[in-house]
Amino acid sequence: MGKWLKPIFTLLFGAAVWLFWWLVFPQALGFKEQNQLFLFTTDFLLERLSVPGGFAEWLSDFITQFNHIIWLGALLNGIIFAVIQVLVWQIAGKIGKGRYDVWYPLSFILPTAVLCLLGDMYVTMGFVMAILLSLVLSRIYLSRKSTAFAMAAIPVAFWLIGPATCIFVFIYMISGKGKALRRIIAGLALSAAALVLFHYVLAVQYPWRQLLLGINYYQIPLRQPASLYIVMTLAVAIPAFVAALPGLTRCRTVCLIAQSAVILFSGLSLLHKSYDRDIYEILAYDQLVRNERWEELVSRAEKYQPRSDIGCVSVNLALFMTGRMAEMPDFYQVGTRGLLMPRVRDCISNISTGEAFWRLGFVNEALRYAFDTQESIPDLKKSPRAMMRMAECRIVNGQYKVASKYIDILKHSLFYRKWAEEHEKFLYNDELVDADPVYHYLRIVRSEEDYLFHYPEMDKMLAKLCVQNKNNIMAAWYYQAWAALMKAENGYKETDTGGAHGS
Amino acid sequence: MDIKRLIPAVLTVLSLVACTKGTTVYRNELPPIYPDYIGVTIPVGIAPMNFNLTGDFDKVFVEVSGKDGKVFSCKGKYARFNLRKWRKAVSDAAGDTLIFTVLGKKDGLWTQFHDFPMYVSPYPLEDYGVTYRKFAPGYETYSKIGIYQRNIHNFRESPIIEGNLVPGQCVGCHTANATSPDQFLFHVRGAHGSTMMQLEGKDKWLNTKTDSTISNAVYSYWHPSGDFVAHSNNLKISQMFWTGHNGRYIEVFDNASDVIIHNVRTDEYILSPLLRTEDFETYPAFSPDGKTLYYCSAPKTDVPARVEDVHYNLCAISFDAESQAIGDKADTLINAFDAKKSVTFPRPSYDGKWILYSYADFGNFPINHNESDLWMMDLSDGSTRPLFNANSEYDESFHNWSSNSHWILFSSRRDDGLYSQIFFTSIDEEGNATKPFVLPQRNPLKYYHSTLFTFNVPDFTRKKVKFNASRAFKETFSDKRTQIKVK
Repeated sequence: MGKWLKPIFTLLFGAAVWLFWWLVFPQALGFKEQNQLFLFTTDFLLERLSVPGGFAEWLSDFITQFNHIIWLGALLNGIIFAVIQVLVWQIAGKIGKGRYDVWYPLSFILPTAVLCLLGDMYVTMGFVMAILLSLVLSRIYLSRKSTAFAMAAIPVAFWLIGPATCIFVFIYMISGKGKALRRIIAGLALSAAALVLFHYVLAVQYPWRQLLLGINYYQIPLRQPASLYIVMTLAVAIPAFVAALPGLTRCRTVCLIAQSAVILFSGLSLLHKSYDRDIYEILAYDQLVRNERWEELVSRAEKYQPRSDIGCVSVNLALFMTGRMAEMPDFYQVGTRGLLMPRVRDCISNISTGEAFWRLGFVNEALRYAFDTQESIPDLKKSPRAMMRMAECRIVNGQYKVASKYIDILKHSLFYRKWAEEHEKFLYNDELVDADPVYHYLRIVRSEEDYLFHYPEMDKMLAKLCVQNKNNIMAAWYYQAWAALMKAENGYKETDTGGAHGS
Repeated sequence: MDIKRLIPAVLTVLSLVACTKGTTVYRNELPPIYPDYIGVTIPVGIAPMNFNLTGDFDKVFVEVSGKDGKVFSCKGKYARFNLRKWRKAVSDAAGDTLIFTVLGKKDGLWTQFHDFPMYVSPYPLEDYGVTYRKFAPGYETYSKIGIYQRNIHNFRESPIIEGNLVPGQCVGCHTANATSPDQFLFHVRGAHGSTMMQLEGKDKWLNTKTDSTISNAVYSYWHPSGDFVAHSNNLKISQMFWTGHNGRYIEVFDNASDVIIHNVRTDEYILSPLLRTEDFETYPAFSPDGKTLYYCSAPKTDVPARVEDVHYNLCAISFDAESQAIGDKADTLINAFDAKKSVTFPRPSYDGKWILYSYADFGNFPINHNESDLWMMDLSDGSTRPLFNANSEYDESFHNWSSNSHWILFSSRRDDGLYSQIFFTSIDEEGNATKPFVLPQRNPLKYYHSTLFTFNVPDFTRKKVKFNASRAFKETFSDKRTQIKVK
């Protein structure tokens, strides 16, 4: 293998990952970015460091914030994946007596597997960073093979990285100096001691099982899929396997090409299976809604539209925003739920409906949906997107003190600082709020009458908005659409929902 | 001139000069400090009442002097008092006043404000600290949630149980027996819901729903003997949301509710038809002698359509612990229904003199009602009155008494209208409240302004709560429960 071929392979891989995130699945980066809020504060760092695996999570949040600029986030991801590949290759070279360049493509298996794993949108970048850090630690250890270093690093790494430290522990066990049995006993004993210390002495308030499986590797607690641990196993197995493979005296080029082809095609096939088209289409809609790229959303839906409530809400909102709401029947519809969804407890379903509520003048409902979206982020993080909307709702409602809390928090972020500073001027200044076209409009059209919001009576509530302000075109359109969809749902029978507001 | 007074005065002048080299201007107003600690009454032993000087000052210099003129000072970005010096100064000033001299530095120029006092109550606050629940206040969803305890003599907070331990479940309503952590309970809500009850160090996980009762236990209160707990059963506690923009957002209401008594030694319910009527009975509380059960009751109303017509009265019924018998006659102590008001959350003082309660326009969830105020009933003559000094334009609720019944705490949203904080006020022999102060924090402005948590259901705790949280996950998800029976 030529001198430049390996770096070229690595560069090509990194570039492929970069393009994959930037051009194929930018929505995945956007989704991850809007579900965390990295703050440049000591408190934020200490909060992360207060749980095992917290440093890896802090680092992942730091990197994830750059997804705000998709190409940049994708580039950082490309670099991370390339570094993982290089580390695997370097570790393979240090574990045994040496490795042969002909097996270089095998070092791409681990980062490719991680890439596939990220198709599950709940796998965190914290997991990726934990693997990376554990590999870095292994690499440092292998360069000096200091037992003292390993003994000190294992418990510390369990706290900073979490159970992905096992990668380092196993690499230490199979490649350290001295008797193998002694290393195995030492590695296992230190790992167990660290976990017992965290659980019983430091009384970390997480279930024992979660402590073992990793607190911050998967967004949904106690639902970590086995694939996470298969990938962690690969992180040890692949370098060990590559180190054990013999050199070839002939057919080296054929072997190289064959490996590359198998890894490439199986990787692509796995990627295709790992990224559910409908889920990522909905995430794409969500990002288009976020960036108010309405035309693009409609044209995307014209090509393919997932059969889901959330997708419908986004498409219908985009149809209104582009003045094409009359074309609703040309798109897939699921009934009234596809116009405005009832509250669902997750961090994606309510966003589009919240956006519609905001524009309709249901300011309190937009606030509620933003709040519930943020609080539904499974790993308990905060959402800059939701927090901005919550601040805006509070500004429109004149609750400036609460708005200032959100704005001051956002001022500690990198990408929302400017927004926060720009919106600070609205605090305690009704005249400025009234001078802003969006906020002024919302103050005019927002619900004047104070009644209890009751989703089953959406038609009546939309009608109230229309009656209150005849210029609320959106409410008028949505009222008509709701009535039509309700009729369709009920087989064109007239209905009377009754309920909180009477008939 | 008394030399004892002269020395501190000289020291004061010298330290002021030392601290404020250069020009000092005097501003004829009280310093803009956060939190508002001006003129509050504090107990001996309270954590340092650190505060921030707002208004873009780069530095603050504060000097504290007591009655005998003893002085100590601090200087920095905010007023951060030395714990040892603070304790000594407050202890020396018991029943008297501490005077605070505040100077702020801006653009190299020092500004001196009017001195302000803090009064040190003659009534001690001997309890270890407070317990409370923290979560993001808002709507139907919660993410991080937990029950915590805070030592009020310093700034140490520690978790009793955090939601992380029981993923997908909600923990809440930590209820101790008259501030004693020897007996306490909290509820776990969710698919693996239960009530955790700890009695003298041993815990049990209960299923509080029976075929004869309408729901799980919700709002609880211990009998002083520790042998019984009164619970409310609230069927389908619903939340709905206001659409207008007059500052109200959420309405919480019950579709039905009853009150029952739980014998914690036999895990049996004692039921009475008078507490399980068609009306909404809720918020039980025992008198300190254990012979009376107070509760709130509202005539059954069609909710949510007429939610603004739900008005709770304060009622009482006798209870005999020995025979485990509930009386056969319920009395109405406060007829709030006629006044189109609502009494909720009665909390009798442990010395038997007062009942503290929330008074709002309607409903049973005063925390969401800005108009909700604290009122007090004098049990010697039945008279009622608002706690003028304690109330604000925002809600006051979730109140309770210290073990010596001379201090109360309550939660209030007065700071920003949404995020509740814990306030303390002293109650004198006549039932008068002093100006309340918010739970001190090391750097209050930073802490309170940046936190996304609300302080919910606070209570005093005499000692530090001991609870082995590591078992909580196993116990919760095992679904092994002690089933309560009906007697």
